[in-house]
Amino acid sequence: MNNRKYLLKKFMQAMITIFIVLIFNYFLFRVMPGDPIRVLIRNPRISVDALAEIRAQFGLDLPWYTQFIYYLKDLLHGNLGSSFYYREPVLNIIMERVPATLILVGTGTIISIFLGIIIGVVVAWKRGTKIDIIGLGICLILYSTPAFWFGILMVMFFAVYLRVFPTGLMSLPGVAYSSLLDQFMTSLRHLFLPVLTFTLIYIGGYAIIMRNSVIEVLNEDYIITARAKGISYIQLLKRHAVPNALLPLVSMVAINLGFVIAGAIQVETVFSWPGLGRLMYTALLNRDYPLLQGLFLFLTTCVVGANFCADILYSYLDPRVKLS
Amino acid sequence: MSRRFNGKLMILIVLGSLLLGLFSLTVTTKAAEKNVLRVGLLEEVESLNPMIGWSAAAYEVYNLNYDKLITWDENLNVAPALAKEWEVSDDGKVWTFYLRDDVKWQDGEKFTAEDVKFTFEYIRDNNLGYFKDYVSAMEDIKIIDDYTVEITLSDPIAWMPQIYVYILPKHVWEDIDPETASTTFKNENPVGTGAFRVVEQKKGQYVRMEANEDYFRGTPEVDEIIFMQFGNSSTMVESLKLGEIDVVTQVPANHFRTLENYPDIKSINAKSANFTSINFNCWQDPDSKGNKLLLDPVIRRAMEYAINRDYIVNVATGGYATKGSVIIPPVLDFWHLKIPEEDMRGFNLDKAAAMLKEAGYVDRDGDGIRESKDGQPLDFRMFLRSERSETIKAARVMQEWFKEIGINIRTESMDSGTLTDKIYESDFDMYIWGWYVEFDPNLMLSVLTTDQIMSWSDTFYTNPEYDKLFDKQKIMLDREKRQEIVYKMQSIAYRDAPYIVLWYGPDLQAYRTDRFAGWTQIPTGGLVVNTYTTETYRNLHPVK
Repeated sequence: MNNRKYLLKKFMQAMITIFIVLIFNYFLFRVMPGDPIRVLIRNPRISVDALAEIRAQFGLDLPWYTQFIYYLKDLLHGNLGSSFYYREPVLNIIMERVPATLILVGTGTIISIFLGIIIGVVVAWKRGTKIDIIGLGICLILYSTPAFWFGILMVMFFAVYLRVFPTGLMSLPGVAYSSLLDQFMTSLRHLFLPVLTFTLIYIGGYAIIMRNSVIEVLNEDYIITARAKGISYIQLLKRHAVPNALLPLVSMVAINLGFVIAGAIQVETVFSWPGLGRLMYTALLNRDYPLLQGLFLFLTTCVVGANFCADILYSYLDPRVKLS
Repeated sequence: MSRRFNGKLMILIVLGSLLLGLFSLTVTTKAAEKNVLRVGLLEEVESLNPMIGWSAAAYEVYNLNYDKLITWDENLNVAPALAKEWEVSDDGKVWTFYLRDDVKWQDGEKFTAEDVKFTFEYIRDNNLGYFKDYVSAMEDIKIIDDYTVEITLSDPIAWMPQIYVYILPKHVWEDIDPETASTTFKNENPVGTGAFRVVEQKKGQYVRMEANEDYFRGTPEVDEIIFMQFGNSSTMVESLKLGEIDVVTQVPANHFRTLENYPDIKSINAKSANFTSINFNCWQDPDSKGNKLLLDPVIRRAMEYAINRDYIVNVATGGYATKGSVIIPPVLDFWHLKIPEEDMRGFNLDKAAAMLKEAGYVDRDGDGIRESKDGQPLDFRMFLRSERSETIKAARVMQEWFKEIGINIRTESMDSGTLTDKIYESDFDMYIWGWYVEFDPNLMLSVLTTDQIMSWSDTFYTNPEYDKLFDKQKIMLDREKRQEIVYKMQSIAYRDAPYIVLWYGPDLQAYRTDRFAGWTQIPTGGLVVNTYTTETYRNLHPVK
């Protein structure tokens, strides 16, 4: 097998996964109780003719297999259907919300990974000492804290008590800014609390993984050899321990993406952040099936895509996993 | 790719981002020179097209962007808006509206009778939105001159002239395919005659409206209104305390107490047009999937005797709601039937038990639950809406009282959508929900008529006497006489008890007093925003 073949195989696997999830999603929403038409028309006084017309318009009058084929066909054309609630194409609505989530989740994830690695390495290095006990304790507490509650605490402390950050929202509309820098700084202020909450919620998980992984590596024979050679602690960590310990973290980050989105739902709801998480929450409340289905598909693709990237990255990071 | 772990770079990045965060502490935003009113809400303005949207948030925006022919004053009397006067023929069928001649559309075009005729016909002929009920009886709409419209109805209508329809500009809407008008048309730049105009919408974030300087009832002093959508009520309330927003449309009961003595904030527990009720399945059809025992009003009445309303109002709503009685809430002062306390079915477990016994419901097998003469146990399902914690609390308390009189209630929570399906399949025994009652009692009264079964009816209640009275009040133009009929209907509905009205409200709002003054409650003692009028927005002026 050569490089290309390996990639192709991984790619095909990813595609098959997406397709299976797609079928599962599609039928999941078909077996849910209730007639979607009732969600679509909130006016029960509608005439039978008008009802039939709307049914036809959304293709709900066709048999399920025809509907499914149409759905697949539309999908190939990049059409995810039309939202019941907003009466707009699903893809447009999702794309409108992607940047907000990307900023929040992206910044939060990057910071929590960096800090998680540092904390993990430090506590692993100092394992058995007070630093380890306290550090691990804090990590476990953060790891098990519900995002929603933690977010409210953040609002209470920073926004209400200290009054240094706004309680939520992505920006304060209707404010005239004296300069572009001013506007940028305001955006940062709005971003601070959600990102801080997000970072702290995930930092624990990454730090714990990193700690375990570093400890494992530190017990390897080659570490003992390296120490016997007289290499300094810092060099030992930098050159031998950390790079090898990073491997489990890479897969963890990719697998975690699904849970990260779940965290985004809570953080976005607390801070009124107009991202995908809150969109999903609203769609659920309104039983907006096409939108939910579109969101699920979108997120599935992201998670599968991230895992695909992790696979490739792995082969670079770990010489034992060869592409060929 | 380098396999080297670059710790220094990472530390730099982390420190950098921390510094950036700290630096942002020192930045303060400057308030705009403009008078901006910020309204905090939880609901989304789902569409700017009035033929699609239905939420209270969307209606608030439409009310500001558009006008109707009429509006209401603080006593809920009909007041002029686009129509300055109107008169009705003796037979009540021909209405003549005299329109204002100084009104301009927000795009500068003149408003005329053509627009009124167009709007009503466009909605009537294309069956659009929720407005068609107001125009479906209009047989003929005639333009007498540029500012006079004559509307001929098929029958007299008591709620006229309260036509709840936003008048649309003909020159914009005549180009819109009626097929898309209530399905995909976004109406992104709505053109109305209203006091404010939507200039920007960010989905899931806010809707921004600017004052209409040419507004025919005077230029508003508020330059801009921003409806800001929050993800949860806790942060919204904190935001109000911090002065980030000026008013909260809906304060949850558990946060209300913290606002009651807060500096610069006025909190109001408004007279409410909502009620929360236990709704019974009264369908006599053999296809009904409800428990047939509940067709006996004795059981329904006995259950009402087993409810201590004072207690559940305290437990479930923090004491902010008002005890319930009839289906027209007291805020509709003119129409609400006041039942004297002694005629109410007040809390009396002995009386409830005695009633059931007398009607032949006794516990025959000693399990603590009564059975009917043919052995059917008084064992019912009660559906609850999972998103309404107050009704779930109330149900838990009531369950105990019902048990004491020998009625077993099994509660089940579900989301509103699922419950709606159950209701339309008549697959329920009872559930807790409620209604928001319009300023005119007609729609609420109609819900209990036989005609509304499989439509607005949510109990399948039927009573020929009630139906007859409904048809009579519907065409009764004399307000006093109509009031008499409306009273009679409420007392029938109370006697037959298809609903047990548990409580009215609570409608809790709060606003800041340090930036704007002129907050107006509609009706007197009512809400300041979400009132179906625009009084507050037009009366507000900055505090100097």
